[in-house]
Amino acid sequence: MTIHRPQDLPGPQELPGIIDRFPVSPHKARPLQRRKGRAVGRGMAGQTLGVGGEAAQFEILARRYLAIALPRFALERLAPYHPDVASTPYALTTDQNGRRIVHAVNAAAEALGVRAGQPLTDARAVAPMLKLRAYDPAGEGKALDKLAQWAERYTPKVAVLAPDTLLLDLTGCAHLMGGERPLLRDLAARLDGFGLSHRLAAADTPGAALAVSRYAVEPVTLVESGRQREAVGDLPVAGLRLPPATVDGLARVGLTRIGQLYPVARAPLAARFGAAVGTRLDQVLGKIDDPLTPRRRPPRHRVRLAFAEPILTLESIQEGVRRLLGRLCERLAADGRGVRRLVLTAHRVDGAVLPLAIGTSTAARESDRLYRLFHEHLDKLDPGFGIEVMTLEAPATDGMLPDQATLDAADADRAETETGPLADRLVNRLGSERVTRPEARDRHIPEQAEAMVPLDRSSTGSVVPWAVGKGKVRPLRLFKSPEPVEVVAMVPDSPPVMLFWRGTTHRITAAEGPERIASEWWIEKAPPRDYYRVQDAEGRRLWIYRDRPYGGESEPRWYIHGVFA
Amino acid sequence: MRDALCSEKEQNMNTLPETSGKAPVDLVALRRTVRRLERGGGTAPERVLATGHASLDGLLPAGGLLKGRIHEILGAERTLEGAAFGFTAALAALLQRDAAEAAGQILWVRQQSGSVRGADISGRGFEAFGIDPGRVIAVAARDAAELLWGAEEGLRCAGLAAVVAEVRTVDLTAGRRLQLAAEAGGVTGLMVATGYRAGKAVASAAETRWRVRPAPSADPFRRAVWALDLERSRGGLPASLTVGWSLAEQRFVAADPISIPHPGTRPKTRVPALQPNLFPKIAEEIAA
Repeated sequence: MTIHRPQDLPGPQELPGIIDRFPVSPHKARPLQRRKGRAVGRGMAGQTLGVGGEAAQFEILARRYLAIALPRFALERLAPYHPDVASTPYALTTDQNGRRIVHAVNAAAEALGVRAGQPLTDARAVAPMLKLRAYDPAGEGKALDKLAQWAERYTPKVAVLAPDTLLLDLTGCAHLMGGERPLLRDLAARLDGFGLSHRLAAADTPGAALAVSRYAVEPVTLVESGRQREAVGDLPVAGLRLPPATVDGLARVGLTRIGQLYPVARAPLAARFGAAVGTRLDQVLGKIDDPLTPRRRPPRHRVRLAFAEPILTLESIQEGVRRLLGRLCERLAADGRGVRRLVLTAHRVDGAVLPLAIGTSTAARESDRLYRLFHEHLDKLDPGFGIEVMTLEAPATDGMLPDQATLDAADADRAETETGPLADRLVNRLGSERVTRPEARDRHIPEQAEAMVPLDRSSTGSVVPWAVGKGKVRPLRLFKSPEPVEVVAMVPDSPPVMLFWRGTTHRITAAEGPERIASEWWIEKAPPRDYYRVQDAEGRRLWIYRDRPYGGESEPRWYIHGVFA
Repeated sequence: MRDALCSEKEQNMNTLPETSGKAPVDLVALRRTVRRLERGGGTAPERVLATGHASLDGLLPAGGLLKGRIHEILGAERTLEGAAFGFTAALAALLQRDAAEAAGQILWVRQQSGSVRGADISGRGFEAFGIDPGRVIAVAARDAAELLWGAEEGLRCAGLAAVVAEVRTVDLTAGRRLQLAAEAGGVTGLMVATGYRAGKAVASAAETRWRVRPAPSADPFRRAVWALDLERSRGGLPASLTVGWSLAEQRFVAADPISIPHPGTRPKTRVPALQPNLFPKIAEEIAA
């Protein structure tokens, strides 16, 4: 067992919460459970096989889902910031047509008779000491999403069902925690630690898991594979996720339990209450597909490492990342892929989830090279009271040819002679906008005739090739924005003889020009500039310009634009 | 590999007996050999960049600039002085031209924080200097530490022709670190330091240290002229000289005015050496 968990938790038998509702076969903690399925009548995988009739039997993967219902999430999520929430009667209110309505209550308020949906005035009448807060749906959504991110420690597929339920696809994941039962126990203990009241249910279908989690008597339920029909039979029809009007309608004809719907003929049911009832029922029973929409698409390449004891030191974090990278790179090599982006996620003991992302300029799967990109940032990863689980996933990959065996020993360090890894290191530490390449533009005005483009981004704008050694004489260094300069010229329309700039005087001994540069008339209407190349008495060579010709409405100004070598 | 070993052996055999004969030259060679052996790079022959300027190469014991080393180029801090950057760019252009096609990248590291004041490198300027801007990686560091880190990373990457770092000063520790990185990666490092006052001797780990001042040129926009002081050269002697850099041919030339008419296009108006008393005449010339 590699998972750290409190040692004093009772075993499966002693833990009162977990009830095996229908223990037919002993639960086996196998990585993948398989069961027999039939092509006909099963919408899931059977369709692809087409008409096979009764004979077309095949194995389908028994999917397992875990529903986490958090009935008091709206209030309990506030407990860390508002300690009163846990102890005193507390309620969240919303505005409805100008009236304030109780939206959620804590246990203490409920004990006094306050109910959700009550007008606030009624609630105040039964509980005068009731503390109030405005209900914040956006904040609640964010908090639930954060919890969903945390729940990715169990499985990469987590769906958020607002406002208070999470649905986890456990298929093929439970064995990582030693089976579903230990997983449920672990999850329950952690949610208790967060102070969240919870109701958990694991079942074959999302519908069954949701219904059982919401309406079963026991707070934690494990429905054995294939037993959902019995498990949901006694539960109220509301567990089918139907609109309230439909639930009321069914109640009027005496159908209050899901089990009562089993023998009812479908056609009249659909005629009276719509097709939704039958569909939901089939989804709960696993007869038709009920796809889960994960909060994010799990990347194909993902590795996970759980630690026996939470790790605290930088060395162990580094070692963990190395191991993850080693495993990931093996898988990438098998698939012929290389990563463009990698996200390392550290799950801390206190529930915090710390992501750390790197990017590469070209597809890469050399674990040493990728490790160097992480190395810079690992010391910024605050382990707090310890990191329990780290995952590494590659959200973006590119095709990459298989590694070629090198015949020549000199080829072994070929990677070092390429500048790609260097560029990656620079970009990852300094940021994309600080590692650039100059790019020529087809423009006349000098500051627009070139641009610095981030190395890892493709060109924008009209790029023209460079003409090395053949271009016009241009200064080696250019001011980002030309700086105004005072000049003395003997005749207005001549190059200056003196230049005053930042408190120094430059006597001009040689000048060349003017070179008239105007912006393109179809782009910008600005007066043309007259550029002069000048050299001062000490040999400094500068590029200056007059921003408009003499004789216009306004007096021209002089600017210094560049420095020749 | 075998060639390198042979030349090493040959060199050892040549230098040892001859030290008694021609002492000064061979002592230098011997010292270099010993230093090379000491650094564990015994088998790699030293790679030299010949600048193509006879007196410039003559100042350097290796007959040119040693590659895979750090060279410091000191300039004035004044923003309008481009001489040190010019000399650096000239060396970078030669290094890029000398490098193989695949390994001709230049990493140019400078510091930029917040508002950029002063002049920055320009692709068009590189183009005019003979550096291929398409093979320049320009890095803007936030502070001096980041700048030195970037330079060191670059020096360790053999795919680069040169690393140019615009620094204020380099202390001895950082200099040694960079020198080791340059030797490990075989990349030439050009450090443009603008924070040193002239006449102040500072300890340095660099192979050579140049102080560059601008000098008036007779044809200033086709030939840059720099006054160079070789303040430090490992195994060599300090010296001073003035060199020119032809912008048309992108090579070092003599600093003296040469009366060969330039093949390039002549400007519309040419104003040679302005003297106050010449102004009426100039004005006429412009008017004409």
